[in-house]
Amino acid sequence: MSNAFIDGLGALLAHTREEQGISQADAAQRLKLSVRQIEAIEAEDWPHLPGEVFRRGFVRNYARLLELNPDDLVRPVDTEATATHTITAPSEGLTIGRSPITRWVALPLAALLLFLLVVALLYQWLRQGEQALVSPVGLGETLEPPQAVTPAVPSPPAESPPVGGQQPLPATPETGEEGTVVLPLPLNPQPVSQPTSQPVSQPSADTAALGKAAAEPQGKPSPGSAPLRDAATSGNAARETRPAATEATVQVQSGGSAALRFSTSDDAWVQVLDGKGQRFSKLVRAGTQEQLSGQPPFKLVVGNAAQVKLTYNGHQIDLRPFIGEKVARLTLE
Amino acid sequence: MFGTLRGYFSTDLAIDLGTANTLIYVRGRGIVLDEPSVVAIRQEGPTGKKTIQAVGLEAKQMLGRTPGNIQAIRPMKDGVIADFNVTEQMLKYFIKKVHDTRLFHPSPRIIICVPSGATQVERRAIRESAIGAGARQVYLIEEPMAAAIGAGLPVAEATGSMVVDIGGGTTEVGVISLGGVVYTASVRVGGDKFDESIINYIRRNYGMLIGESTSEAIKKEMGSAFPGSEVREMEVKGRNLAEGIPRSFTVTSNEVLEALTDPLNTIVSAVKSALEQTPPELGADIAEKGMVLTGGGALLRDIDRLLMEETGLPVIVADDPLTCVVRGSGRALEEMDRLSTVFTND
Repeated sequence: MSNAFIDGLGALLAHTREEQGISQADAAQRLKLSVRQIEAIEAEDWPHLPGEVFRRGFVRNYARLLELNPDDLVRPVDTEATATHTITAPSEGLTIGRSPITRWVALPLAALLLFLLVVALLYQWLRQGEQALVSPVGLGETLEPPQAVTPAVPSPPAESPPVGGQQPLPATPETGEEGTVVLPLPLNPQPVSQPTSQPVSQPSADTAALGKAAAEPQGKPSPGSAPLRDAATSGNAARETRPAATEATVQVQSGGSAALRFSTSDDAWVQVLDGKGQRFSKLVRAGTQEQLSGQPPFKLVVGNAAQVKLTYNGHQIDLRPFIGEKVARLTLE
Repeated sequence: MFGTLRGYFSTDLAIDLGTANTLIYVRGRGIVLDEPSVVAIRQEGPTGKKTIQAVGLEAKQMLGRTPGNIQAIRPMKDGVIADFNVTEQMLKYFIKKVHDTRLFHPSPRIIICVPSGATQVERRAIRESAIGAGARQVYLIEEPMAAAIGAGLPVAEATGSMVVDIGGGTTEVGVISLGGVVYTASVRVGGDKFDESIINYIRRNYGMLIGESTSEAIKKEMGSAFPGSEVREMEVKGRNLAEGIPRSFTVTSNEVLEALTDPLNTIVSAVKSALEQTPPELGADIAEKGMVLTGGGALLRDIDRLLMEETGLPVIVADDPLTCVVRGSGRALEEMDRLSTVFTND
């Protein structure tokens, strides 16, 4: 309580008052206080006076009455609020209101960032979808470990067909650098009957029927039978008049596997279902080759078929007669 | 939309939006801004586009010295807003000034003082002005209550306390007990009226015209509310009304006292009226403790003596009376939970 005042305050005030010949009653009358309060101040009897604010005021007034400097008697009030630094407001470079940066730059910048974020997310999503599309469908579920792999069929036509007596073990497809996939082969393949199609059973009839307007730029027809079935577009063969078309050669590998080879000049979707029910689906990239072997008959669905060159056991097959919109559907036996 | 987010980057403020000065208290930091409530506006080009030329002290120095295209405006008059847009811009500038962050526009909670005699329209104007300046939430506190808290009076106790806040535009008289205002009165007399009275007195008696700044200087130099033993003199320069030529003349403190008689009598009447209206129990408390003077007007020499003689009660001047209102608002800000009753609802 007494921290607000100097030591010996009461005695100093009383002494000064007596020196000036002022009575306590006179001082009380001039300060509008009671004599009791003057006595309390001089006795430093603070509990008998009101709160600290009032005590400081009374002492200050009393000091002024006695022509003392109040600041010498009353310690400065401890107001932390006044102790802190005060800043001034220089008017130089004054900008009032929303700054142009906020209005014209910040919001478009935020919108641009948001747009870029959306684009990045969309791109990521599309890439994920594309990767899922490219991965082979169904093979991983049906095929088995690589020790049962049938030897891959290298590029035709110099390659001889695989050995017919090999065990028809299911095999995991082995994708080499050129995309060779090997499908399991049975010992005794059974041709798949297609009730809705017209089988071509004569060994040389296929070349006669389909290759009549086509040149034979490479290879000769295989002596084996090669029934070719076109489920969807058999009637369109007559439309194909371009001499550049490759031959539609069908080759049957009796008791063995057959090799298919796709090469494309543009991305194309290929789906192959072999005689054992194994399915192979893949997007063949432009400029790449995809080779696979399996047990005939093969049901083929080739997207973007105009850009695809199909080789069946070393014989090129013209897909154009089988192209519907852009997709060729055919069966190779 | 981002008010809550920006609130994290803003500090709560207490503002004494006074007629003469604006003070800002920042929570946890104390008083950080004390500037005159003056804005200088420049009118540019043929389109008449208005831009802010200066705010605060620099603008005050332009008062009465501006060319035709610059206006030095005091947007507050008699304790309330006289020019809404300029007040809003001034507040916006001050709020921005006390915030360090430049990333976000500050969106603080603000406690702002209003005269107890302000009408609902005037209070609404102050609230809207603060919101327009970027405040997230605005609380209003009446000036007598803020002044009492700032002066350190026991406002929450069951004892009557009387505070007289003589500001630039208004004088607020309040009797406070148990955290509430028992009686309050507001007269639109303050430091500005003192200046105006001095100008009128000198024009009437000397035939000289002086400006507001000169008048304020006279008031601060030798203004007095009670006749003292010492008579002081001051040389003043102004324009002679008859000749139209600047002249200098001498004014005495007794003349200034005479000039201030009318506004001082208004203040004394308001205080007496408040004492008459005060319930007897609280009146007894006030008779025991006296009344406390705050505000810039409390620095007028011997004004406590005048009130003491007129009322027969002890009168004390608060410590640092100029900042009492903003310190009280700041304390209400710091202890918002405990002092929630001190805010006004309208």
